[in-house]
Amino acid sequence: MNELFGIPLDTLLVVLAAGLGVAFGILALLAIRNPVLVRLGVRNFGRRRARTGLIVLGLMLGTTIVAAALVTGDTMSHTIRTTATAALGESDEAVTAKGAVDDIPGELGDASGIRWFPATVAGEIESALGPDLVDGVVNVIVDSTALQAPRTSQGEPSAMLFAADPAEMDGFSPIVGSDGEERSLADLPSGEAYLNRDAAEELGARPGDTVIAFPAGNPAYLKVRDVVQFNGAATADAAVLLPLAEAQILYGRFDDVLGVMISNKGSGDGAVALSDAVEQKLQPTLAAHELEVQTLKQDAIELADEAGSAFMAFFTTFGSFSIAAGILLIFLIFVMLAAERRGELGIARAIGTRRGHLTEMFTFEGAAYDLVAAAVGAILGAMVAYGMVFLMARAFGAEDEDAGLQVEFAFTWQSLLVAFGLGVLLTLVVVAFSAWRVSTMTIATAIRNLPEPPVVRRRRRVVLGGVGLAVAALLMVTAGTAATPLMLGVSLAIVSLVPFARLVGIPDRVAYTVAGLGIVILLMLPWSAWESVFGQLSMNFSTWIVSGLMIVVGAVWVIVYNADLLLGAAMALLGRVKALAPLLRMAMAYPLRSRFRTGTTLAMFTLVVFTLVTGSTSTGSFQAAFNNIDAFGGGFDIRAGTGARAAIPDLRAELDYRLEKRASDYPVVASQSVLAVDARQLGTGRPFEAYHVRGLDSSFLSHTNFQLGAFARGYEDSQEVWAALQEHPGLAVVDGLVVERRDQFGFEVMPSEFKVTGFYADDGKPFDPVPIEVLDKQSGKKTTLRIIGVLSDAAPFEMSGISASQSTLSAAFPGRTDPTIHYFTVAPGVDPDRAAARLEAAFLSNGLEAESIRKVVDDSIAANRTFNRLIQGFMALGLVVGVAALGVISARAVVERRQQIGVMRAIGFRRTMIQAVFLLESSFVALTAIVVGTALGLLLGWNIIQDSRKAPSWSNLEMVVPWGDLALIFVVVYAVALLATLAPAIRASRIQPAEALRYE
Amino acid sequence: MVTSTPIVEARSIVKTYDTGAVRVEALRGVDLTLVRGEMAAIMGPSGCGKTTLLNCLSGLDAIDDGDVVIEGTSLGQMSDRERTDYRARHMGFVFQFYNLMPVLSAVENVELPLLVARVNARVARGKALEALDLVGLADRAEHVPDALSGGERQRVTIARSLVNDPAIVWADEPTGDLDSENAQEIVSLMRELNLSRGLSFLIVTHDISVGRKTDRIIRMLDGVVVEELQLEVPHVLAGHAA
Repeated sequence: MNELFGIPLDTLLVVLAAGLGVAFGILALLAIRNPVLVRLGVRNFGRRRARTGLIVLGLMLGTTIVAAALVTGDTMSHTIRTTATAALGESDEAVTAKGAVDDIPGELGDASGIRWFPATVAGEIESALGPDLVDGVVNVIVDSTALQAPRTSQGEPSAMLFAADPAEMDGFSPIVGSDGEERSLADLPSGEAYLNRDAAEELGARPGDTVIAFPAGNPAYLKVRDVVQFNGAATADAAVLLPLAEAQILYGRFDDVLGVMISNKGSGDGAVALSDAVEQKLQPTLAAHELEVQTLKQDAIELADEAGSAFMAFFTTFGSFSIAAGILLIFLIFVMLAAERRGELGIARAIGTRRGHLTEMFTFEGAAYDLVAAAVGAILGAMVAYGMVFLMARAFGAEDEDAGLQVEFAFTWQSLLVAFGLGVLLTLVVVAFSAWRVSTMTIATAIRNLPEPPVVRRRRRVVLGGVGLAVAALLMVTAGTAATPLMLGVSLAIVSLVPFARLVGIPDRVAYTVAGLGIVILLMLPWSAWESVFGQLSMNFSTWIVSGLMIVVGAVWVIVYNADLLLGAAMALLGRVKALAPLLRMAMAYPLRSRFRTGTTLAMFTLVVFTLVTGSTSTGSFQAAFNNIDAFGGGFDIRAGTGARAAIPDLRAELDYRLEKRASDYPVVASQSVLAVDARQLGTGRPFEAYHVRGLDSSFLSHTNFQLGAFARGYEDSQEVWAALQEHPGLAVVDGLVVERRDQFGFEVMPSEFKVTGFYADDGKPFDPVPIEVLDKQSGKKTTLRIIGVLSDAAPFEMSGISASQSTLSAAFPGRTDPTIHYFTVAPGVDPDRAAARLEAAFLSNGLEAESIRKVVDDSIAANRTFNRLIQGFMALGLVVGVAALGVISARAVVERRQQIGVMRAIGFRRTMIQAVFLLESSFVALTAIVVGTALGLLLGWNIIQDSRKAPSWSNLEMVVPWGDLALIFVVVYAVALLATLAPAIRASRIQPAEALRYE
Repeated sequence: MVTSTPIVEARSIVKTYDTGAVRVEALRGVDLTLVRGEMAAIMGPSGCGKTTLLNCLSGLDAIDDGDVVIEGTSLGQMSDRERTDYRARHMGFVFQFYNLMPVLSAVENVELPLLVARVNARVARGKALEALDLVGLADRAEHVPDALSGGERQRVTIARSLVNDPAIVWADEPTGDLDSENAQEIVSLMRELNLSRGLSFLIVTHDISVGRKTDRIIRMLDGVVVEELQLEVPHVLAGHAA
């Protein structure tokens, strides 16, 4: 089940439905009491269509962003589910030797020594489960193999060999031939096989061709009977399909199998729901044979949902600033709407309408806008997500059919309803608040449309300030080591002092400027400054969101209360250009006077620009850090993996033999084994959890320069740790993902439940060696390791796990740790890509798949770059909020300033000058926001980089600003902002002075 | 300092407002001449076309027929841009509701026409302060309109109307929003400026006491001039003119 803010969407939907029920129930009651107010409110909705359209546009943006985030999550969830379904078909569970199908992250290597078991177990399984639980039980051999097509000279090093008992395939997905007719494995005579479409495409093979498979490294010549479509070959990629008996001959295991696939009764979610029952019922049978059942489809679906939730969390986090800006826009729109109606509302009050009635009337009108806007916003969000999916497809390499993950757009009604519900409720709350604010007016001034006379609300100031200070104190006291409540508390305390400062007569300008500067400076202080006062603090994304919001509030206060200085500077600088002087004067005077509007719009723009710059700068810097072949490749030039049954125990010797003279192109050959295990930290009482170990051979340990992010006491640098692993058995290094962290910037997709605690991976402080116990489930053997280092965060995923020396693991788990992963350096002058291709050709029979580290890094960087741009684009969506705000303000300004425009025309402002005033006014807001937001964003980005550099993982981190991307976004947004103002500006310039001057 | 040189000549001006549903003939062939240095008042009942005539004469509104000639130049032959520039350099405006820019201070309001006419900012500021001094508001230069009384605001408007040294000032109900004391002060100020600087004024007003302080009262009814009444210049003020 996908989650948002940690709440399952189903639950959230129920909560939202209840919230909407209550809110609209109250509105319905009020409507029954005063139907005339509903009529008045709703009539306004349809009175001016263009205005209504603009309001709906403004209100829907927040919903659009939420919907886009949710639908993107749906898409990722669907994509992973689809991939799993393609790989599993109707198979729901697999019975295998223990640990045989546990996931080993990355694309390299496989555990060796996977146990075969008697084919007769399938019968016992079928009997144990009975016909009520399952549709089918079939013996299978599923193994990775290389494929080669002599006619086309094409090879595929990592295909899947799927062999099943044809007589037991009922209940599983059908094999469909090229003519659309169903095929059976029983139709295949000895020496023939089916290829699936992926395999046929990779090899360029067609029916009648001969292909060579390499089961267990030995060539087997197979004639392609047909190219078929089959879901369930345990891969979404290339596969060769054989009858079980044929495969048993090829492997020389005549009565044994590697697995039993189970298809639960029914299909889809109904079948998956039976997995727990199947698992439970099989326990006695499997225990007797020391086998285990893997609920493959259930696990895949859970993984898909977790990934979907992670994407939702990711996009909602990055979109939260835009959502905040969207809420500000809703508030602004209703305040403007109220300003427009001030006269008529004043008259309504004068003839006896109560304040409450005005609030109700406005809320009714707002609810009408709200419902339409949320519906449109949810649909538009799905469309935005559709656009993002295209980009994601590129990021994940959809153009490369072999890339595995084919991103496919999908949405659930649940997501759209949640976005709709959230949008409606959020907007309704803002509308109700705005309506209440609108109703507080001085009738006499409202009737004449005069400004509200200033009233000093002493009691309100005391209450506001007092409550603010109390909340701030509470936050700071209860914060503990959490940075977010502490920063919020400190900021809130400063904000709450402003009402008191004004009470004692300190001018607004001074009070707001000092408070604003205080917040900006405090929150921009280097992290070390905060920790020197409050001790060590832990951060997560909420810290960024809260500090970002408060920094922008502070900055906007400083700007709007000191903008006259800006005007002075601009006039001094540009006022000498005679043509510009009157335009500048007018263009800046209005924003300066309308502090609320200007401040709100400025806040929206600045907020988004600030996050965009901070986000882009920090992700750009980390991305650049990954663009380091040495750090990513651990000092090697090529990495390769082979299938477990075709492992090459001594690759150096084999290389010398197969490549002869060219063997000198590879001066260093290093190897790794990998094994799925259960592991637990000793002394914590925690149970065993699935994880994996890597055995690094002495060549690897003596040549690697993979960096470590934390060291045990007594070790000074990475090389010392690697050397210790080589010299002292029983020592290990663990990746940084499973170690506890002080700062949490992850999105809840953890590789395992296995955890290492007792120190923080991101502290940069030495720790005491951590003892862990590792269990090979298949053999039941255990060993104890001591963790003395944590891999740097910059290390690749293919190094994740618990890494010990190969000699340690081979002694602990004999026969289970054949090396299946290999690293190479190349001699000077040798092209790593060609050298990798040569390795693949030489070791095709072993299914060796090799890539140069350069290519891996380039591909990864390209994918990251596309993904970062996607995030930038998503965050930039928030700028649409700012643009919409400018459009709304400009449209309102034309109405409000009609008479003043008449005067300006009368005293000599040409039409083009009027247009220029409006455009300059928008420019003032947009450009100020871009400049201030960029400056603040760069400063915070710099702080983040400096702080990260203190951790050994990122000691070489350099600040990289994607100026090109940012410049493009800002230029486009500025242009769109001007376009949004252009229509009102043209309308203003067309006002006839004589007509305008008739207005009072 | 009334001369015989015409500054404004209106010839058979026709102005009709046609909204589709309603057609109003606001001006039905108005002929009118204003000589340089003259201060005249247009009076008449509401809806008789006074403001429309003023707007048409000043080029703020277009005419449907006839011609308006100002200082020998036909407004009808000017483009919108030329008319606008002409207003910036040769005309001043005073309105009933002051129509000051609420976001600008008094001096900024006054200097705005100069800046529009591309006068150097420093020179413009000097002239604006002089103009404010002339209307007795030098000490209120930095105040925004909201901080000024009605009479003071109208003085600022007058300062703005004369800062570009115009040939003529158009005033539409300049005392309409003022109490009688302030109204008298404003009219006296305009008269003084008329006499001392030779400024031509055409004032639309309902107030006969304002009309009496001008050289001529032009009475309108139903879109036509029905009567022109030449008044004697008060002795004291005539002395000022000398």
